[in-house]
Amino acid sequence: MTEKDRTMNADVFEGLGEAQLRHLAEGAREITCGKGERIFKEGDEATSLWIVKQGQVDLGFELPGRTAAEIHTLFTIPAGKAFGWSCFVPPHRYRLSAFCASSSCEALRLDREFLLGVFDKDPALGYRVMANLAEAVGERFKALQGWTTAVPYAQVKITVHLATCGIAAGAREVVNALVDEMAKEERPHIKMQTSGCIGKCSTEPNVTVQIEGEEPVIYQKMNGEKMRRVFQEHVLKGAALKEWVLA
Amino acid sequence: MVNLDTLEKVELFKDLDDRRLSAVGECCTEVVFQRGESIFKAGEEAGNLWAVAEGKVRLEAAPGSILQENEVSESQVFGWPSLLRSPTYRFSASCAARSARLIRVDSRCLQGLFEKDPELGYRVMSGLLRVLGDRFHQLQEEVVKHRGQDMMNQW
Repeated sequence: MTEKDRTMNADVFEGLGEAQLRHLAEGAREITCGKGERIFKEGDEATSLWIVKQGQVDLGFELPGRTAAEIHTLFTIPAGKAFGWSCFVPPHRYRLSAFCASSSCEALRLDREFLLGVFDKDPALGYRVMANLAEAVGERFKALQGWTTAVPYAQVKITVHLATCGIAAGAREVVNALVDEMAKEERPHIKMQTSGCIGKCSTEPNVTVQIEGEEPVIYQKMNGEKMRRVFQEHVLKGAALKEWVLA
Repeated sequence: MVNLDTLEKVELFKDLDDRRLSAVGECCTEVVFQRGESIFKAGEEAGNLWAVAEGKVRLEAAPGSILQENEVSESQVFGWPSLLRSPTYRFSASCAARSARLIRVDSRCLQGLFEKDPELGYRVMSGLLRVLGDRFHQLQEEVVKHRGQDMMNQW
């Protein structure tokens, strides 16, 4: 299996065999773009399915009279996930604009006509991909439905303190857990950042959760498991976990 | 077993040949509901995909949702989460006509057919993606409209 075949291991290709992935890889084109660069525009003909290979892509809408950089993000697509599935849904128009949201983005582009040709020749492959795509859209539907029933979200900033002492104490595990949880939720109002030591080496790894309109909360002696709980309970539900808060 | 004339009108099964329609028919049962009667509730485990043979069905979201309700009529399907890995109904469904004749499709039975006949699976799941995509776009349009209005009001 080549490097290119391996990058085909996206959520929509789950369950496919090596030969099938190789076949799909033959029609994939690699695209690289920089932060803020538009990949496609809302209303464009949807001719391709896209896979984020590296970085993050924002999907959102643009407002009249505003620049493209002021896109209002609805979804953030992390590496390994697909976007642009409107290419399979009439009238085959992208409904949102796509922009590179990280310092750089690498994506794979697969044209609809190529994919339909492959599916016709190998219906088992077509079935898996369509079932996986339905799964992905179903998940996004669930997220969108959740947003419409909840009160508007406050902006949330999560800071992992990553100085040498923090890294030595396991801050990378904390970052990985946080990235994982954020990818599952796809909520663009939650931002993550890293920063230096806060002068409390004995309590590292420290994490600060700052919810708009509330006092920042600093957590101490964090690990991956604790980070996941803080994300679920504090960030998503608003209930700080007092037992881990730095006194 | 549901007769083939009824089944071939269902949006997901339109282009299937008689052999495949018959196989799908083995997974189906006809059920009649009266006005206002509940078919399923949001949050319940989704074991069946449903299609409307006659009448209308109302789909209702949780209170407070932007897309509050939706109507499904003849030949259309609803209950699509039943064909996904975590099958939970996203809306509540109830009969919106004096009576509605519905086709209840056992989703496990249907998925069993897909495994044996992937071409059937490919065709039906392509159709399901179109249905789901349409509903998704409808919901997304509402969200965009609301957020866009909120943002423009802030200018």
